[in-house]
Amino acid sequence: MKKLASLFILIATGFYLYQLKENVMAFAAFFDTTFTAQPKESTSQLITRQLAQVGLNSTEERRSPLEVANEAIQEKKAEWKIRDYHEMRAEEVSTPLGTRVTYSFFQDNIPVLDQSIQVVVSKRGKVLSIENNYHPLEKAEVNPADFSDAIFRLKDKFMISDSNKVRDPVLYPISGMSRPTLAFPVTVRTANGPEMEVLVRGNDGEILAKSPGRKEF
Amino acid sequence: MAIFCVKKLDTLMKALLFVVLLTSCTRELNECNGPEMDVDSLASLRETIDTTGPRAYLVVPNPIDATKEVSIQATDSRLESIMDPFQLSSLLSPSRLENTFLKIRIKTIKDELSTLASPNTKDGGFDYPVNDVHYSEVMAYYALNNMKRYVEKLGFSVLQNRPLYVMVRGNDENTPKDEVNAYYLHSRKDTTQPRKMILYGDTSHTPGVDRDVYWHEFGHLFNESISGDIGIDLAGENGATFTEGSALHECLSDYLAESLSDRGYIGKWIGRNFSSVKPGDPLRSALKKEDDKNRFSEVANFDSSGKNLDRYRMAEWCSRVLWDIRTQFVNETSKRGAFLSDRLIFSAVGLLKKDTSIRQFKEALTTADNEMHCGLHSKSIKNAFDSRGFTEGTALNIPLQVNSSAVAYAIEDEKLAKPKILAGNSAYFNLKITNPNSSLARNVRVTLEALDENLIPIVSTQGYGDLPAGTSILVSDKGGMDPFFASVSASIPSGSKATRIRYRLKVQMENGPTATTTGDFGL
Repeated sequence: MKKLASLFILIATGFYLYQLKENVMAFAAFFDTTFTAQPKESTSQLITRQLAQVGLNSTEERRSPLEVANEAIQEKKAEWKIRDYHEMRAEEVSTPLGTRVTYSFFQDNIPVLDQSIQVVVSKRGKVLSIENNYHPLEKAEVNPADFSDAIFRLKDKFMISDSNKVRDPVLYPISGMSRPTLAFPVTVRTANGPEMEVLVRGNDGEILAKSPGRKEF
Repeated sequence: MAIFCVKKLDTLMKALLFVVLLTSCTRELNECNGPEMDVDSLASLRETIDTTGPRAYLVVPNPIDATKEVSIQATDSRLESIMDPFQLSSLLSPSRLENTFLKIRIKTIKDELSTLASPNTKDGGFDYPVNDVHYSEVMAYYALNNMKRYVEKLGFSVLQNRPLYVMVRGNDENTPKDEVNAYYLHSRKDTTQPRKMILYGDTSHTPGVDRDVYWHEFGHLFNESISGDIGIDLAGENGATFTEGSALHECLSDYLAESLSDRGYIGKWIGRNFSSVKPGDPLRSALKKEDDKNRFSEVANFDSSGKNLDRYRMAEWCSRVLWDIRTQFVNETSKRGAFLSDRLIFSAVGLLKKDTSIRQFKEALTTADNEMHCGLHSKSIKNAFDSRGFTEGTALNIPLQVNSSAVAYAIEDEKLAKPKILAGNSAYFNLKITNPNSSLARNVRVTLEALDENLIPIVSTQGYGDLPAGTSILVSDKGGMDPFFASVSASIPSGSKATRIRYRLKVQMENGPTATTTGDFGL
């Protein structure tokens, strides 16, 4: 009798575990869209809903990080007052966490420095962070400026790397000012110092910024 | 019989519950390992084992660490017998130390190729004495190529839109004789220039011989890469003496070198160039215990001597926090732990914002851990920061009090002079910043803004660390810290016709409101 009871329990356990295996596979399928288990029909709708909630869909293509990022900032454009004359261009950097999409800004094809929006999208397509470093700057006056004229005054103070190589201009927002100014970046060196970058204003050669390198000690 | 069945059933149900939990937990833990990792490849990169390319004979990481002899010099003939062979992969040509991204030079990017290192063994290898400049070139290529491959294997992409030139002995007629250092120039604005690493030091302990130096400098490029070139320390790049962003930049670079070398310190070799570093001591260490860089307040609290306006002090503290986190990972899984730690830490860098801070980095670590490891290390991360005294500070209601005065100056015969006119000259700013609150003000920074076209802020932001309750920061040409070292500064355009120039100062802290003040100055 005891043996019969044990046998019965064993069979019941086996049957239960068989049922459990299918349930575990369906449970696991909630979290892994590459999992190849075929969930029971009664749970398929639940899975679809769960996947949709995390931005994934078992029946559609997963969106690219750029698409996710574009959507995330679309609704914020008005709030951030992004100007019509500023063009946004995106670049992506991948890490094990996901993708960092950086939007840089240009006016008339000239980069506007220190203005950006960054969106970090996880591998699952979730937006992990959005950072807005854009300021609704006024439209810069982009008058033609001559690089060699602009660096003329630098020659008294610095040795200039590749002085004959014409640099592309940038638009630089001076701290506190609402309209960026056209400038040229130049790499220079003082008489007894290491190299550094300077920005010179296009129309009068004024130095707007200096960036020495990072030193180890 | 019924009681017997009930008892057995109860046991059975508990057993089944255990099986279900075990199955689901195992499934969940598998989800919490983060992206897959090729541990064997990573381990071989750590051992710098490569299988293709010409051989290079090197003393790794540097003569002192390789021999454990503090007094050893680069000219020591014994070094030849302890050189190990390494293979240099990814070369564009087997006779030149460069590939599509990495270019090794001696003095400048325009060095004649005939002056550079070339194979000098029968089998096309590179075998130079340690004190030969060509040895430094070989060490540079090996170290940087290896580190780049390591971080790529971890799953990161390295910014390669411009090449990286490495000058292993940049000293020339314009370099001060006693200059010993290593610089990284990101050339953020001047896109015609490549990225550059320049090492200076024509000494018996030249930096070019030390693998750690190249790994640390690569860390700066790597930080910019992962953070999407946002400028995690834009203020520092534009001349600020101290910012938390600059400390973090150095911390992460140190950690990268320390972790891949599995030693926890850097700079025993280059430290021999400085009388302030005891022979045999490293320049910086994530392991050292008996010094004043173990608690956050020791490195962050404002000190009137200016001691803590030193990014490397906070960097060293920070590297110890990261090493604590790494140790936890290694304790959990000795084979993979260090790699998991590196991956987590630098994934967090991918979440940092412009002009970042230690607080932001701590939050980023937690976010990255939540995303990749289901938050399993959140306590370890918190403990690592807390145990070393990091605090986000109590929320403060009262802005910091600020008094300022700007002083125009000219340079005549290389000396400061009172200018006769404002136009074409510069201005420095005396500051007194007081914390009237009853708690610490965290991460105090000052930003200078122009109010019209007559002022160009050059060093527009300066950091001061944490300001304890009731204390003041004094930067002044009449006592207090030197304004040229510890303040913001500006130039006055040559075309300015103003007789008085206006400016605005914003004084920010992380745990309280911003104070804003305006002022003006003239002759």
